[in-house]
Amino acid sequence: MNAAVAVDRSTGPTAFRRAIPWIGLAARLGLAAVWAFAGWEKATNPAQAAQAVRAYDVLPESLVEPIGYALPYLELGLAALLVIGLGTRIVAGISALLLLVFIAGISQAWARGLAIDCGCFGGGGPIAPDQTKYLEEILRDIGFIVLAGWLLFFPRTRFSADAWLAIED
Amino acid sequence: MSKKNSDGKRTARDRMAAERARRQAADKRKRALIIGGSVVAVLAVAATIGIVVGNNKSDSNNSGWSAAASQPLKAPAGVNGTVISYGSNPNAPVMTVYEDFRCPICDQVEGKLGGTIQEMADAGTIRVDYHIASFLDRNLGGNGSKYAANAAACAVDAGKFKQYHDVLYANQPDETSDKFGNKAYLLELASKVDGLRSPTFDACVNNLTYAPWVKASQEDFNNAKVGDQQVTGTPTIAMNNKKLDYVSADKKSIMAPDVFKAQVEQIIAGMNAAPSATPAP
Repeated sequence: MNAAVAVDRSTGPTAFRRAIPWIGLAARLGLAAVWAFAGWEKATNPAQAAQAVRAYDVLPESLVEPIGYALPYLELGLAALLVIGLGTRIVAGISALLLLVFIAGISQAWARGLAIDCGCFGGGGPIAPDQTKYLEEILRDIGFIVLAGWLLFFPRTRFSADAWLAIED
Repeated sequence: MSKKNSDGKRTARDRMAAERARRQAADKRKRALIIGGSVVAVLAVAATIGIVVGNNKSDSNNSGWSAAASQPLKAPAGVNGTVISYGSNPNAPVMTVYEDFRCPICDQVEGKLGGTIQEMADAGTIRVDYHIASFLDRNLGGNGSKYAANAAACAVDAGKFKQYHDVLYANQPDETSDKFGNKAYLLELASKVDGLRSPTFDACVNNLTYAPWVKASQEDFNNAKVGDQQVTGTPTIAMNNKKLDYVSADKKSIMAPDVFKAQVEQIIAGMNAAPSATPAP
């Protein structure tokens, strides 16, 4: 029984199965780059990041600053974990969740007719109504969710701390 | 016998395999826990660092302001209350202007009508009373309204309020930018006014000397009324208890200076006519 499985694994993998960890590596590093850039741009100007959060007009004022200040570093933390490949599946899950929250935030701003910049990569806050880019911002975030989704389903990637720690799944 | 023996061997082997599987599963759980725990720990630490860093940065910004604003109130030289007056004739009919240095419409009004207003004030036709509000920082984030208002109050001491006021509007940043929140930028703009920069002025700008006055001025603005109408925003221009129009007839831009001037002259004519009709006791 055991032997049969072992044989299956050594002779069975298709080109696709062999490619999965490599695609995973690319997705991991891609998502890491996204979080690192987004986090860095915001962390360099916490007041602006808080202002971007405030502009969504969703959170009570008492939460605006803590969230605005914490978010950039949370993104940098996700980036660091993705680079070393530690807890890839959990991190991918958190990433997807966070992106869904961002999309929800942008959508409500769009639906309510607010004119804001998403502040996704720094900046943010009110802008002229003809300068909004809600659709592009949402599509971009969906692109990032695809990366996170891949890692959620195929968390085993090349050169990851997970692999080094010999974790199956 | 041999069958029994091999059965016994198998059960022993099975038991060992089961034991190994159990230990592997336990190891796997342990590793998963360690990894999950470290992920959560890393993210929690990162978020905490963010909040601490952010609070430190904004504390150094805002606590600077709140500490300065809680000092005893002191008005700039020659200023009565929170009104900065401008004009050659102190007894001329008063035009009251409510402005915020970060307000874009104030900038448009200054750009189009500022010259006319200044001409009338210089000629002694009117006296302009400026009320400087600074509420836009709360809406837009930052310190630009407050810092610019403080610097303008410092310019009153140097007798250069109007000139500096005009320079600030001419260099007003985009509404969402907090460039006026940068004291160095305010000082750089002050250099454009001859004779404004001095060690006293620079210290006044840097130390937010008139922060309590700026705060008082904003509180006055919150309660300000024209006639019995609440002043709800900037810019508000009023004469003789009436709000003046400054928007063009098609509502698309600021009205032409001569239309504005005619409006002011009409009000002054009305003010002059009124006392003769109902003489003051």
